[in-house]
Amino acid sequence: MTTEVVETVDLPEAVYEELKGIVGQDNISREPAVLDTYAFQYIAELLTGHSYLGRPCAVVMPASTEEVQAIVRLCNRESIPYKAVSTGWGAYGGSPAPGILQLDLRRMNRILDIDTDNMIAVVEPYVVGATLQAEAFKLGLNCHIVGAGSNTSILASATSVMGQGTTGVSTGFSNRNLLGFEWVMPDGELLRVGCFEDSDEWFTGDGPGPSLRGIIRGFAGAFGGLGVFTKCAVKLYPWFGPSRIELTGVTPEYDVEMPKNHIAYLIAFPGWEEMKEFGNRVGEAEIAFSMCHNAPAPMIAAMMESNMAFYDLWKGGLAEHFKYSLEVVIAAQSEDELAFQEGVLRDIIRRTKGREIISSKNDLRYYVDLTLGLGRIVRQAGPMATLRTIPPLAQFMIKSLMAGKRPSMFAKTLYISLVKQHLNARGIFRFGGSFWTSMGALTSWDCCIENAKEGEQIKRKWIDEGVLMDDGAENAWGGLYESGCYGHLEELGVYDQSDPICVDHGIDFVVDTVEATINKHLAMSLNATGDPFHAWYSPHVMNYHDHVASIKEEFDRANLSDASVYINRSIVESLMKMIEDGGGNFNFREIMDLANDEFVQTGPGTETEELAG
Amino acid sequence: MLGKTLEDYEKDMTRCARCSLCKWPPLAQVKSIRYSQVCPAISKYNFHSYSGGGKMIIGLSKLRGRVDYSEEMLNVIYRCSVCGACDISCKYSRDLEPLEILHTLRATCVKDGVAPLPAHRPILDSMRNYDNVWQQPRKKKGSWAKKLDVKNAKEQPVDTLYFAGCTYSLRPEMQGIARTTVEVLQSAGVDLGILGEEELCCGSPAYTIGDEELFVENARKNIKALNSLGVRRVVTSCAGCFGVLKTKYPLVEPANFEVVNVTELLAELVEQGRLSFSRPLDRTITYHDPCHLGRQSETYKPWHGVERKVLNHLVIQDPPKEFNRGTYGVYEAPRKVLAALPGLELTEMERIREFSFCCGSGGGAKSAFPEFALATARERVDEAESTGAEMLVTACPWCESNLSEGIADAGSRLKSASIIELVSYALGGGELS
Ligand SMILES: Cc1cc2nc3c(=O)[nH]c(=O)nc-3n(C[C@H](O)[C@H](O)[C@H](O)COP(=O)(O)OP(=O)(O)OC[C@H]3O[C@@H](n4cnc5c(N)ncnc54)[C@H](O)[C@@H]3O)c2cc1C
Ligand code: SF4
Ligand code: SF4
Repeated sequence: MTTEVVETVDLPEAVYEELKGIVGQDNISREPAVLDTYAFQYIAELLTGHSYLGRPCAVVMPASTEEVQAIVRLCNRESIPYKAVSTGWGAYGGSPAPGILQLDLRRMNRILDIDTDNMIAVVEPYVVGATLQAEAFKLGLNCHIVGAGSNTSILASATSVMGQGTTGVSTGFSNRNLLGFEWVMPDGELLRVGCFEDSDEWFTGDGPGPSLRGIIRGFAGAFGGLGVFTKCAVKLYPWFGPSRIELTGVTPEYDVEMPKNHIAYLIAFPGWEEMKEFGNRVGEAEIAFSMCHNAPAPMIAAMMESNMAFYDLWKGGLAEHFKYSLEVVIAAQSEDELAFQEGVLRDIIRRTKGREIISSKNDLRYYVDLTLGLGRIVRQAGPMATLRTIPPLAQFMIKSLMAGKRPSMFAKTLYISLVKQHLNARGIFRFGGSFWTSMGALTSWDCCIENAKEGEQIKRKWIDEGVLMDDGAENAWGGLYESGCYGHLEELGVYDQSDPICVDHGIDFVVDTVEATINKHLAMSLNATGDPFHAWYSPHVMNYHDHVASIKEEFDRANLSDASVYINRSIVESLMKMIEDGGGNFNFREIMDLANDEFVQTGPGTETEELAG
Repeated sequence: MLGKTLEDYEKDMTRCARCSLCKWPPLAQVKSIRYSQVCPAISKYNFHSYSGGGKMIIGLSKLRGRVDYSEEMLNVIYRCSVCGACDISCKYSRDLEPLEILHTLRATCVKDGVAPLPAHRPILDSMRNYDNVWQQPRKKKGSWAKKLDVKNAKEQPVDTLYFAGCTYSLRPEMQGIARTTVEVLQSAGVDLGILGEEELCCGSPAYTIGDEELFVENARKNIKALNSLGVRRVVTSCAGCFGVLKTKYPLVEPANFEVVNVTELLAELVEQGRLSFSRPLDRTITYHDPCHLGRQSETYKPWHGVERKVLNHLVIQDPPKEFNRGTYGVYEAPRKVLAALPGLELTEMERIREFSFCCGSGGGAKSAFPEFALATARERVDEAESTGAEMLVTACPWCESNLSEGIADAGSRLKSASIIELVSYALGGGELS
């Protein structure tokens, strides 16, 4: 047995007692075994080199806004850094430095209101996608759920982190869905944003009262670096489906009776260009409930019950057949509307040389299409190419039939996963244990495709180095939002967090992609969070760090709301200077390490004097 | 698994995504916010450490020497009914073994001498001293069957052995159910025998508390005794006995008999037309799937292999391993039996089958943390009430007893009953409360 040295920071006894008085003794802990379950986090190894972040000094579980306020005020009085989590998934919920006070908001778990007239839900932090959706469905409504999964907090997504999800083409993006919110600001003051000036309604975040959406989150969010959000209102959308989607069967494979007038498709294209065109046209036509791109590897994995089952199907070279593909769900209000949407979709498929790989509608159509598809290959590529194509397709068909899965069943699995966002861990975590992502900020759909092309090339290099799983290199994930007004495609890299080569080099692929986004003028990376990335990006994007740092400084003068994934001006500017001094020639990895070391040493809430000097 | 160490699971523990999926049913099965939780431990105690994933992290921290035993750490480990719901939800998406790790963590505590907890010791001592968990003299074990005309399987060859289990044999309020079981099965022409006072404890409490040595000793004695009888099958009406006989005994030694639960046997008898029901029940009921009859009753599939990586980092098992994911638990048999009873309407709860919410009594929770067991029962009773049913029916003495306490504590109008009581009533025997 090894003995890891754990750096700890203890809370003064009197402060601990005071916190206990606020939340009650059952809702506070400083037991190392309990604290470690907050320090252990997804992707912690990329920040600290092992599975844990810094160990918090204590965990508290407030049950109300008043308790949150009392805690934050106490932290300000005693200069204790703190950070809130809703469900607490991801290293950005903690800090690489030890000693933050972790607020776990699990006890704030109520849906306060679903206003059917105005299509608004008011929720507390521990309401997740699955629970809000279940309740909204009963009222003919639906909510936007992010691609992370329906196990994540609606509020965290709306107020603090990103917001992209697979139904975005019809349900928008989390920051756009945020209406009012209740905010315990970094100093403990309470601010309610919405229409509270004149009424008690959560009507809109953009006035007539003050709108601070851009301040509290912008695109990426403050990742817990700007106080604590205790309630928020989000926009809901119409749901033309049943009040409950009934599943049959037993885990790990559920079947679903497709709701009337809903169809799920997997549509493949000859290349990126056709896929781009299809996305734009479907967006314009406003017919899709969901439209997104999942690379073949996660898509097949999501359908299969184990890695072994996935591998059996995958090794036949299946991926080639739907490398350039989009998953589309249409969900119409009536048979007539369905017929219209189907008609439009087929027309766009035809114009963009698409091919319906599977649909939830019927199996016969699949076999006919397959035969026609093969016929096309014979005509276009000749008999030899056809012969090479048949084995993997036949293998897919035979294997899927042997596994008791008709093509329509795959499509139905696809349907539930797109609507309910429940299969993501299968599609990405099961392979090797973990993944990290890159590129993928919001941009035009055309630019998204350019991101994906570049991402694939960079991925290939790190696959060849043995750092990432060989998922076929193309593993872009994303889709279109608000009828195609914008989109996102991020590049996923799968790794094994128990393997030293991945821990040591997992971040390198991200670094390369960031570099590519700058050099090739692509959309920024999702990873433009945290000081090293700000230092790198900011000079290329109007020195935005200055604006973000000003927000942080203005709202959190004591710098106690842990900003390890948000911004620390002195670190960013010191790093920028180093980059400049090096004439732009620098090793980004070294800079990250330096920033991390410095941050871990000094801890959040402390000025980093050497660097600043 | 038996004889494993935390080292054996280091990779699994490291690969936990901390995604919290183990706190919910498989997400697509969430039907309301009210009944959306599946882990009793985190439902009551809230800290992440109480979830299945939390316990995996504690295992890793222990292995890496980051934490040392403390009272609170042991509380976290043992305030858990070992219901396995976390395991099913995690394995819906992952090839990990949360429940095995949870068990190994407990076994490590026992090996390190910090467990069993004081409240568990009398139970384990009773198993050692009296071969039952209720601290009763051995002789009493057969008293429940005194007035029955049933063969002693040690003395006469029988086709089927009824393994009554400690609770049905020794708890006065439960003994009637064991008698009814024998009567019903005999009425259908099953050639049945019992072991009476020579029946030993199945060993389940030792396993769940983590005392592997005691469990193995117990299981060996039992397998030897049962093998020597030459019976075709052993039928249990206690889900706890069933789960351990069926899934854990094969880890110890091969058995020459089949293990079935009484609900499976009843379903078979119904199908064969050997039970004919004449008395209508005229009731609406709801059915609680016991963990050890449902998700934790899959036949053990031995696997001795190694992890291998292909495509750089795709983790697979060589030879392929069949994970127990709860797919083949006994879910249909009890429902088939209920469906055959005249005048009975089954209205299902939201959390059923493989993602059933536990009654709260398992894993030594009831003896060590009665308030936790009761809170869990109250949660389940609330869900049962929400269906509008008059009766909460189950097929396990531990569930029945704990849920009855939950009903009483809640002042609920629900009645609790075991399936066999309904069957007996419909056959024209006995009365229902
Ligand atoms: C595997 C994985 C995949 C992901 N994929 C996507 C994706 O496809 N699309 C997308 O938009 N996002 C994605 N994310 C990020 C995602 O947005 C968040 O994980 C999620 O929406 C937030 O919910 P949560 O419950 O996970 O939040 P938490 O993990 O609780 O918190 C996330 C962050 O928000 C802060 N925070 C949470 N609650 C509060 C609060 N009440 N007040 C102040 N700060 C708070 C935390 O400090 C933390 O920095 C992914 C994350 C993971 C781990
Ligand atoms: S045990 Fe499984 S479900 Fe639970 S947090 Fe870990 S990976 Fe997720
Ligand atoms: S076994 Fe049951 S009680 Fe224990 S952690 Fe898993 S789900 Fe929770």
